[in-house]
Amino acid sequence: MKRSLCYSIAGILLFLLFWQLLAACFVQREYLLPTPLAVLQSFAENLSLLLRHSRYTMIEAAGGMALSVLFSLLLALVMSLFRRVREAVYPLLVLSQMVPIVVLAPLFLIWFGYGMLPKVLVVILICFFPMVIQSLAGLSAADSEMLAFYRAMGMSRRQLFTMVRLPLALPYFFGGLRVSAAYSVMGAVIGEWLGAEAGLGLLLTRAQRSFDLPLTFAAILAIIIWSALIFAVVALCEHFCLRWRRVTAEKWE
Amino acid sequence: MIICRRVNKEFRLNRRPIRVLDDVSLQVAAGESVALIGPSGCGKSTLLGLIAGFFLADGGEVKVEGRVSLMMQQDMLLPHRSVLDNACLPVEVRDKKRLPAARAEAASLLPLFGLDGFGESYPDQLSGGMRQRAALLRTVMDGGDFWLLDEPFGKLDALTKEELQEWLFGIKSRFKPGVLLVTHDINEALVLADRIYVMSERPGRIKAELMVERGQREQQQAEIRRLLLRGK
Repeated sequence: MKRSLCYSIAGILLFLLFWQLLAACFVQREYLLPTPLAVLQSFAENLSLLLRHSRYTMIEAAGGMALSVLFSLLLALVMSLFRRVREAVYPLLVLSQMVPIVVLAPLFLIWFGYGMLPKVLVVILICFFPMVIQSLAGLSAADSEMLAFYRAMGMSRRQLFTMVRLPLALPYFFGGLRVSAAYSVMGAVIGEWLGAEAGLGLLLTRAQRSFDLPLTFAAILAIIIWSALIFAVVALCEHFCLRWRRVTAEKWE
Repeated sequence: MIICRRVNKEFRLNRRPIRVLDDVSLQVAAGESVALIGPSGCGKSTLLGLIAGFFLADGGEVKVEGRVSLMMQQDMLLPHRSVLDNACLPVEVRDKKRLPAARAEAASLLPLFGLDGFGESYPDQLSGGMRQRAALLRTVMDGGDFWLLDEPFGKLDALTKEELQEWLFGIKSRFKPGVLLVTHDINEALVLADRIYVMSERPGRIKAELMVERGQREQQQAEIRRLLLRGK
């Protein structure tokens, strides 16, 4: 575990070194490719600006995530309980992922204005899909033989759900949640990119239009940091909810 | 007492009816160990399902006096519960108030089941043999008058299997349940049962019934093999 962490950090440092050399020795033009050090400097100088815009982006991303969790759990539940609903809704779900987000986001802008709502909608549209699909797979993880066995043991429908189906679905759900977590901030930024009053996406477009590439990269750095933070929160939740998985994984190390 | 009288069962596969059980009659008395042996797909698991109440017979009569506890080829242990929590699940399902007492009882049985020190372990941390023993502990904690065992060691390697058959003999001598063991392993039937029903290929029929004579294992092995092969 520790050893693999060393390699990960070494990989990142090597990449940064390569970038620094490329920018400082060969490109030598900050408006084309700023050095990592210049980016860090810009990040420090514009910290309050970045934080102000981050607030909007993070509210949109976290709010969108929270709503996606609620929405997807409910939908997965209804879909797993009613076969007809599942058959009716599943194609719509898949279709919803085929329309490019960059095409939909401007429409949301027209319908809902420049505030946070259209961005939250973009986040939901991106985030709920992996969670619904995974939760649905998870809720059918208990096969019919298993369910018959536990029914014969005397379990009621409710006990079957709370003691067997739900716990078996949990690892799947967290798998979907991890994917969504990684995409959530990106979703908000795409929404902002196409028109917003504030947010990292707006800051990005402004920085680019004024050829302030150090600030552009600083904003990207902020997006990465926030995404990692949301991902870490999800991983932490998983850590506590799935203790048994952690324990059984240790056996093999 | 478990009594099956002229039981018939059909299933539908691609809208075509398939006869699985044909006039099957058998009985298991309290405290008696009976094996049901037959080729794969002969309907022996179906018969067990009828007795367990998974589904109903199309014809004939299935009567169970007393409660049955199941053990399957898959251990059916829940991965998020420890060995003890899995073992006490039947008690938890029926009567939560009895759970503390059941846990204490299950914990005291762990050494007998070769699971000493593994009570708080999760199923994925155990070997295949240990998992099956944990599954049997759950069957014991279920406390049924009859144990329905469906190929309980079918997934294990030959060595572990042999070891566990001897062990199971000891366990059932201690708890004295009625046992209906479904298997296609002749040796397993001879080790564990007092009486053996031999079934034909589908549609399953009872071909023969024989009492197990201790000390005549080899002759009886040959006899059952002959019975199973006849009519092929």
